[in-house]
Amino acid sequence: MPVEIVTGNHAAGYTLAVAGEANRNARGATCGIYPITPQTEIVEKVAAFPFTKGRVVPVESEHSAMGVVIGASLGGARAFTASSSNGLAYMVENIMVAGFYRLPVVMVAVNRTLGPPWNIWSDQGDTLMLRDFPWIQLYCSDNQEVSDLTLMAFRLAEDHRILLPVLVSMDAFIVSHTQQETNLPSQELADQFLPELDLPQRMRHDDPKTLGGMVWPDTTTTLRMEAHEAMLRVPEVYEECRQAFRDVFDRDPGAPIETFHTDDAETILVASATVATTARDVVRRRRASGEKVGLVKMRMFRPFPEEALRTACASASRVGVLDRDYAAGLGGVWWQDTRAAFQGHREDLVIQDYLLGIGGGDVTPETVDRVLDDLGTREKAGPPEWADIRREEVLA
Amino acid sequence: MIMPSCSLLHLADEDDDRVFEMGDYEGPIARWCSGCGDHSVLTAAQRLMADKQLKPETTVFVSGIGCSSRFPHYMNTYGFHGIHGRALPVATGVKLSRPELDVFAVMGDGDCVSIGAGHWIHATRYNLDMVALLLDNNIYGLTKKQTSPTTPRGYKSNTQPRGSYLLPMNPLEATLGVTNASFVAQTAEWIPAHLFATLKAAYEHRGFAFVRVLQRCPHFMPDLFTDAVKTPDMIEILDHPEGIRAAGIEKIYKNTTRHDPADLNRARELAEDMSAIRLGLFFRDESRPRYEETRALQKRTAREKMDLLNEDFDRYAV
Repeated sequence: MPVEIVTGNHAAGYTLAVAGEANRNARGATCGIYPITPQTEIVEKVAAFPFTKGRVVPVESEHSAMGVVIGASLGGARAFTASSSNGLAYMVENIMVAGFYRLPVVMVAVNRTLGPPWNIWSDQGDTLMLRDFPWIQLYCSDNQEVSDLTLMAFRLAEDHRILLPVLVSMDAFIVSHTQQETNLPSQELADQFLPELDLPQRMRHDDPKTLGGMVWPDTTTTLRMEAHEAMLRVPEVYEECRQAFRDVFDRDPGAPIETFHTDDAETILVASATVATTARDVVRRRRASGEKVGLVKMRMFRPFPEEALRTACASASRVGVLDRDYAAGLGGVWWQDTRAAFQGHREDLVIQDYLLGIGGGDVTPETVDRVLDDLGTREKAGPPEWADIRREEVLA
Repeated sequence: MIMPSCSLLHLADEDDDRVFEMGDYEGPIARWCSGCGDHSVLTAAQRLMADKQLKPETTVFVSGIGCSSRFPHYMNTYGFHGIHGRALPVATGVKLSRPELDVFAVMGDGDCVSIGAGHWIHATRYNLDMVALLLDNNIYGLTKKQTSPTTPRGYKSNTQPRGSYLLPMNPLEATLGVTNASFVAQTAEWIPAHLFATLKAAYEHRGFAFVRVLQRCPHFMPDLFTDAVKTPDMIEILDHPEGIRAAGIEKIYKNTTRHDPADLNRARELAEDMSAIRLGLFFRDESRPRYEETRALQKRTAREKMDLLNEDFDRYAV
């Protein structure tokens, strides 16, 4: 398929649709949709797609959208939806249900600041809020990644060693509404890449049963443990899916983490989504002037790629985590997990948090420069830094 | 930093001799599209406040999410721009904790009929003394043309590009079907006199006053009421001495039907029959139990309270 110029939203909507269409020989596709800025174009793109076998259900709320997805997946459809911000917050109850039913459904989320006060700009607080649910979480920096990882998400989710839902996220407007050259999957290649849908939990005429009954604590514990063990298998299965993707599409959808000049770096930034793209430019420039700085771009958040992160930061003495999110009373979410990944492994490592771009604030190269200037002088980590707030200006 | 809010003029004062004009209730310039029906409702609400001399600091507008939910931003009163579909529970909390305040809930068809439909039904049943406005333009406007539950069948939108395939919800029929409904009216934003008279009747009603305002959306549902606006005979005014009478419209709107708003069965028939666009008061019954009365604390003397306490202690005496 030729390269097209599309927005991140249209890349996601189109890819969800071809993935749904790829199941046309079975139960088809089902998508529950409810509009919310800045995600609406995704569901509109899906709604306009000429499915051979499939239903797009314009439900009355996000909660119902995920409800339809759950029911359709149990019925044997390839099911997916998209949402954002407070829409995700309202959907939470059913998001958890999809996870613990182990339904391999896919959701694309456009990261938008949770209200109040109302704000439609980018902030990862909405999807990171789902961190304790059994969902695989992937973060994208550009439209190609959105399309590739959305397709990857289905194969990864549906693998019988995994059977967990997958969330694919992109930054509001910076990706969702920006047009870029994107190599979209043709239906033929999507058919080739995605295996026939085989859902062990689906309703079967030869095995009628009730799901979700009342249980004793030991059953709940066992189910939680099984979900955890499936999470632990993700890195291995992801690599298999990645190889299959390369074989079909002749391009790399990317590893769970991507490293940039980390081999001999003394100072490393950990970032995700478009903040990572800006940080990469700054790192490239400072490398050219001889500074030993590097970058880890986090593509996967759940399961948290702890081991890969530790390996990538082996040479570093300082790590700065860039968080476009804020967990009240603690700091950045990526920072917390980064600290946890090194706990017991690298007690000497300075791991400093920088909260930036909160509520959609622009993360400029100058901001990242300030972060690196600050990080380079640190002998030990302090409390999270609000990198966009200049305290002298606030106090004035 | 505190959340943005309207600045309030004064605190309540018994010696208050202020006289309010419509302009005193105006907030910032409304940023709805030109031609949007929300402007009309905003003006009518400000006119009602001036007519009733309501104080900005004792009036609360609660909204959800949607074009119409920007309403509180443009009123110089207390306001709460809440969560999609949840205006009514918030308004319920405000009214129960501060019964002396005048509470208005402003919702669109997305808020009320779609994502918040459960609250609409239960707020009707609670029958708290407040005004609930459904600004119904039959489309999701804020997110730019997606099918809403009241979108006419066959209408092509961005979420149903081949045309809406479900029958639209009829909010009047639904409200009239809810247990304990006490006031149900319909008006149109392009008839300011009727709109004002309806808001006034709703405000004066003791109980939950549900008003559906038919609205034009010039961008995403441009032709829905074009014929009705040009052809007044398409509008049927419900007329009755106990109903809503808007002075000065009778020369234009000659198509009237006599309907006693005490007649619930007839109200349901009129709401269900879609052969005409009916404006007026469908139903009113002020004798229906109101939540604040049903749950009111009984006033007792100190002696009575002490007796009750002793009675309770005696139950556990050994």
